[in-house]
Amino acid sequence: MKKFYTLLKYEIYRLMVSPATYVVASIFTLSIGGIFIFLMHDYIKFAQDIPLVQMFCRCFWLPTCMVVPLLSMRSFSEEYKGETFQNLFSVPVTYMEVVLAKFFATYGMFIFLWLCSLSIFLAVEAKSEPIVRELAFASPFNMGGGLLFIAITGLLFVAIGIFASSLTENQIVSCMMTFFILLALFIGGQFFANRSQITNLNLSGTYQESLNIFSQLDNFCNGVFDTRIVVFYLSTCVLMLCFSTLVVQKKLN
Amino acid sequence: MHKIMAKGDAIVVSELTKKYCGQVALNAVSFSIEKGSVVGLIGPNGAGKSSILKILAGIIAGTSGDVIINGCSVAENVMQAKRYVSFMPENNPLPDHLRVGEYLRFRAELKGVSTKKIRQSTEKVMRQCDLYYEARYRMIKTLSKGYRQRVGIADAMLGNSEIVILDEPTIGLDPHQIIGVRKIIDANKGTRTILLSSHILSELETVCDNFIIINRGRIVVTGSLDQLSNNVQGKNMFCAKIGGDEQTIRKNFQGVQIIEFKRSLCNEEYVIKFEAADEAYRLLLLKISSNRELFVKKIGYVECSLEEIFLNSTRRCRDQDNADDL
Repeated sequence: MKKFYTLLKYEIYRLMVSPATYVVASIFTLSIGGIFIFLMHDYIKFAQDIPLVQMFCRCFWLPTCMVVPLLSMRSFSEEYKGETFQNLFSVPVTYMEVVLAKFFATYGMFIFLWLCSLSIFLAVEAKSEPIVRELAFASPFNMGGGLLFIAITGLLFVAIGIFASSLTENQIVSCMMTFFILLALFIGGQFFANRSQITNLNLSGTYQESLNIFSQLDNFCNGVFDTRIVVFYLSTCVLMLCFSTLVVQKKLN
Repeated sequence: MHKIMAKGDAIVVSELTKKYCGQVALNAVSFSIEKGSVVGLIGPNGAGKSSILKILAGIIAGTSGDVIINGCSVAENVMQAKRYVSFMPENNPLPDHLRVGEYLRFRAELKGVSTKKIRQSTEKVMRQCDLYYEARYRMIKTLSKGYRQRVGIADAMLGNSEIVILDEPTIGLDPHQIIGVRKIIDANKGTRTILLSSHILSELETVCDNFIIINRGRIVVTGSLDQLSNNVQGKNMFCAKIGGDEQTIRKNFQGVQIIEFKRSLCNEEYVIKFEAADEAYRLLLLKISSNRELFVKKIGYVECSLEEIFLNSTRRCRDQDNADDL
């Protein structure tokens, strides 16, 4: 466990000193800010039946699709390219420890960025009229539930990024691979769920729900905490990390 | 057939085979290394040196066979085996975003050096490798090739590992730095087992007690310089510089195998290279020293250089392979 903390510390430090991380953070902040201004503008103009915070959370796919590939692409690709793996595995550390350290460092950064986005809402809450506040936040579940959902789904998304990075030594390839897999998860899930409704495909409700990330998000924002969703994302995350471990092991041998 | 580990062996490699996508890199390699010795691993490019070293360091696994490090099988308990070994890979890949001191501290933590001793250990190796004053706070990415090598060597010497494996440690170093590396190795002689791989044979000749020559994934010959010399030459090789009549000299040299017989540049003496067993050489010495017609200017045992041994043994191995192919 001590070695895991050492590796985690090293990975966090690697992210913190890399200029690329600050570029990613800037992209994230700009996209979050842009989304918020756009939604706020829309919210004032037209009456909406859901609170602003929930609408905001529904747009989480866009910053996620941009940030996760950029944060995770360097994890293994850089190590393969620089051959620093030889040094890393010459000491008594396991493949799993290395994969987990990289995963948690990237995931930590992902969560940190989302927590920073809270500042926008804190500013609105501090400066706006009570009626706007009421409309924007509705209930604490909206904000908390939305962020909890992002944190849970983030486990899988970051694990996918780590897996893609373990496959190639080319960072661009890793980034594109993660981006398209995430896009396929967001759009593909929505597409299949809608299609099954239109064409009356015999899909059970649970299956439809597991495909549609946005309906899961709505449930969380409305305070419905579905443990099946948590288990689903957690187990797929573990599966991706196990695959990453196997790939790294295979690549080294 | 598995080799049995002797009490004084630090490393025992038995029938080790490594294949990369069906391509044989190591073919049933077996050897053992005594505790506290400094051993040079020599071979042409692509001979399988780096594969052996990586398997010994536990970075990659062998396809078959076994490696025993300090009584611990690498195949069965790689984590325990890694605790005994420090490894500096070829090209010495280092993370560019750290400072030298930070990197060594990170490595010490991973090697399991206790928190209290980390500072002391890192400072010690930095002083040994001349990094303490000049490079301690420098970013690794700004270091020259020589300094990077020194960081790699400092990393390998860090901790309490009993076996140190260095893959091309002196590559890119200037003569002063090479002497520095030699001093570090000498300082650890006897206390640690050091396995070196290098193409600078003269350097290995100076620091190593024993040698392992490998070619095309197979061990060609192992042993000390004398043993290798005998192995390559077959018998003891001698050289004599004698003045006198050619016929008389040839007559006296009957009974030994003359390899080369030539007149020297000044035409007054002959240079004779010959092979002889110890007893035959003793008799020859008596014969020519008592002969008043001959003037022995110089006579003695010819030691083969490591370079000659290496070239001879790898050539012989190649010829044998070609003959097998035919």
